[in-house]
Amino acid sequence: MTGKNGKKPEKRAAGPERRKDFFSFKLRLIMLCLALVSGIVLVRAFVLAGVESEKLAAMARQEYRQVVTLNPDRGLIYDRHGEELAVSVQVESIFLRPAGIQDRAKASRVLARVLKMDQRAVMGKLTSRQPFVWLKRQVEPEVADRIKELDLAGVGVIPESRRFYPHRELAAHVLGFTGVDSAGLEGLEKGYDDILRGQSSQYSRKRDARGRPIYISEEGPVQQTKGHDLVLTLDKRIQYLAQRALAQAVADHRARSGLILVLDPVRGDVLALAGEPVFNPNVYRTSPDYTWRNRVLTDPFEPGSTFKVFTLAAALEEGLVSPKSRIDCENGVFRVGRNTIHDIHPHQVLSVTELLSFSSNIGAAKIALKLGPGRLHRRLTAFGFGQLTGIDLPGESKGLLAPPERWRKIDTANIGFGQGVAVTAVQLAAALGAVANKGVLMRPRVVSRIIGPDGKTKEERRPEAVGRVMSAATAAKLIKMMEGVVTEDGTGTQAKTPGYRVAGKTGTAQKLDPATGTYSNKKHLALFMGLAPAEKPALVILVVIDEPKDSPYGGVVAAPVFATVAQESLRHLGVPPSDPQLLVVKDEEEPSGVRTAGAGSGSARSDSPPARPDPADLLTARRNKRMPSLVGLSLRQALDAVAPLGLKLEIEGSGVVTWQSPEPGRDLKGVRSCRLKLEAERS
Amino acid sequence: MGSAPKRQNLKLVIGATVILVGVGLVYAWSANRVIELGYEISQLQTARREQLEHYSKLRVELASLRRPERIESIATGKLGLVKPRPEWVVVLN
Repeated sequence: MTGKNGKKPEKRAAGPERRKDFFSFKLRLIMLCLALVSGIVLVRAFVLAGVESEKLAAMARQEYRQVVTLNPDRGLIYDRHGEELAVSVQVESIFLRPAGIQDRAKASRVLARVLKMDQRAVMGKLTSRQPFVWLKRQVEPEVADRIKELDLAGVGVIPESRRFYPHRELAAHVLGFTGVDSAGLEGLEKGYDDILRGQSSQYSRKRDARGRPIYISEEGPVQQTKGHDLVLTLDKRIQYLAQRALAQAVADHRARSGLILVLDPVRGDVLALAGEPVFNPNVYRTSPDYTWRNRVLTDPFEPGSTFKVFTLAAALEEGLVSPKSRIDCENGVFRVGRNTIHDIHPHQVLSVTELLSFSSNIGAAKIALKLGPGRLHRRLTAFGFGQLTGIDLPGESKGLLAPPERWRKIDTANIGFGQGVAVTAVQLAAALGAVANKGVLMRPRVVSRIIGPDGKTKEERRPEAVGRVMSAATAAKLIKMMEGVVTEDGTGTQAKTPGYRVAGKTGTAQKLDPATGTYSNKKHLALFMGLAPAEKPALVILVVIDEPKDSPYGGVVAAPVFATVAQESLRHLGVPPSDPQLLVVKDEEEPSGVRTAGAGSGSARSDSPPARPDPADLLTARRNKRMPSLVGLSLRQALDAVAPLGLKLEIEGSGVVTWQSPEPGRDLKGVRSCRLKLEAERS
Repeated sequence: MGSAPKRQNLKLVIGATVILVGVGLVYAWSANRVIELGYEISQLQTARREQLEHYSKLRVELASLRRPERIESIATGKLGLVKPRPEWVVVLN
């Protein structure tokens, strides 16, 4: 292989060697570069994957993950029969991210037109420096759809929960209302805000390049935290009856305002509570703010003559008087020190029962003086006056009952008939409830049950007895005495409720004139408080009418409201009449044609009864205590015929009577019950 | 002598490649399916939310229709019913 002269081959060999070295050098250079690049890549990879991994992962998550905020659903409010009184609905609100808006002039023009807002106001929000601004909240669904269609950068739509009260003004003072952020501002909504309000929760989900959500089970939404539901003691029907009757009375007597409270005295349940004027909680801002206040709890007033019931209760319980005790009513004028007490209608000597019926101030003042400040104060405090009743609604006032040490003689006398003392409507009704509940004072309550978000009862609230304030015997005596107010020649005869024995007390309180500090002769409170039926009270009703223009008297202005509400509420509750005799239809009272459902045109057809029992036969049967023939009669006619005989009825079927036992003509001596079979009438 | 092991190695490489590709395809298919189902679930969730919202609105409407004031006005105005007089009401125990 070597050359002959030996040089050339060396030269030849040097070239490839150099090339080889050069090639080797280039190769090394490239490898070095590659190694360098690889090193950089590796270092960068280490930095990215190790040092900055958390930060970068978070940035990446921001791109493909979406944080969704679940607005809590506020709990519902039901009446005692499960009727919804307050519900929540989803509505949409429009928000802005001003930094993301490109053409502000165009955006303000379009948004102002769609949202029916002033363009300058919109522009003001568009130029805000805040990152997030509400443009308009709780808009109509169509408006929200229009905004979505516009697809403007920096403008978004977000769902929110809005409170809705389907019954509008019904029980507005109990329910209260919520603000735009679903925070309770008045009534139960405020008092139970923590319980009703749920907790908002967030979860993140993945989204694709177009922003569409991709649900991944492990990262799915957490359980939404809904608020608790409230079940109230209110009865929607009684609430409606009470509210309507009160509104009618306030309008009829051109009064300034009115209050009504209906209680179940045995359980302390508030069945209805209303004030007039009222407001619609759906649009509460359209009513003046003084109408929002629940004046049944917040505004104390002088109870006037209604307070005599509690003065008498104290005296009866202390054994100082009995219903028959005689009190000299001084012919209408009684001097206490330098002061004089008057009765509107002068009386000489009255029994304690008559004193209550005729509402003698002098009689009540004398009894109060006999009791003395200490005993009277102690008894009144036991009834709950001068302290909170503890009703589960916010804003309750204690009223005013001064300590007995500060009572002068005239103060004691005045308090005896309801002057110089201030009570709230709920205190007054609860105290009368104690009389109706055989002497046991119950704590008035509005919420009976709290239901958790899972639909299970979280808290069952039992009726709570505050304590015994008088013996059952004293309570019974008082009720008997209060019946005299409504019947006979009492001041509250307009509270008579057909079919039921009722008991009550009227009140006509002069209002203090703030300008002069004296009692006004023109401004009065007309009150009536009563219970029904007297033999087993199911309802306590208090009616207060403020400044009636035509008549100041509680017996004229407030008592008829009591009668209307008691009548319809007792019927609604299915309370049987006190005296069936009162319900027997007299022939002359029978309507010639009962209007029944017409065929949509408003016309009514006459529903003439089928075969009527011969009144003469019925009368004869009643006189002779023999069973009349009832076959062929309708149920009502048969009941009318049997009611005077005092028989207990057992009824089978419906339609007309086809069979009866005892048989017609049978002597009813020793017979207690009557069985009737009814079948559909064959035409 | 040398070609047989080479063929053996080639088979192994091809086999491993096929398996890897197969596993990759199955993984890709399942990942795609998960995403598809994710979309479906998301749509169903939206539909459920809408239905619940619709239900809540219907409930509100029902409650509004059951307002005593409205029922009384229909009963007395449209249907010509009257309130029963006390003596017409019979309470059955």
